[in-house]
Amino acid sequence: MGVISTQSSITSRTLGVETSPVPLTNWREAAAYFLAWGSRAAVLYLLTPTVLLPFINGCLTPAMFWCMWGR
Amino acid sequence: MSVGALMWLATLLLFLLLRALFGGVPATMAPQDRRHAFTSSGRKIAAYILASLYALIIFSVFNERVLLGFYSALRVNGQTDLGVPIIRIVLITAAVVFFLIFGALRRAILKADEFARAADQSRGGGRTAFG
Repeated sequence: MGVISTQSSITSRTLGVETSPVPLTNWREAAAYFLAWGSRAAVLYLLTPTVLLPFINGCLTPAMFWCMWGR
Repeated sequence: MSVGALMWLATLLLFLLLRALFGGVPATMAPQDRRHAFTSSGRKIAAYILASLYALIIFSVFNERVLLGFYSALRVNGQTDLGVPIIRIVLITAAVVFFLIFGALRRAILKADEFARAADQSRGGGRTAFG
């Protein structure tokens, strides 16, 4: 990644392309990302005990029953 | 695993939506009048997916090599209540690392585009000069 970036900037200089300092991001985009990430964490926090764990248990119990007695 | 993948996809969509709402599309990605654009090019989506894979690999290795030993040490010393804050710190660090990788990959893709364009122009110029 760093190699590509360095190589391209060197080649750009060689080819005479004007290179301006490229900002990685801006605060609005960072805020959008961390809000999205926080929402995901909150959804997972709420869904895990109420939906996901019962669902996984519901899937696992018949599967285990089948493994033990289904043959 | 599939729930995790679905959550990453949902996060990507929510991120694009919030970025469009805040007008946070970076100046290098879009002109001034497209700061509120929701859509993102295939390359930026690829940067997001690649960054997800990098972050997944980094934190899987970290989890296996460091965290498991750390948790067992906590259990042995009877300090299991420290586990939850440590998990939170690790997850927040993972989010920050992911964002940095995503930004760096996107910048690398942008630079590669600039380079390809410049190379095309220089090749086109050469042809004109010779032909």
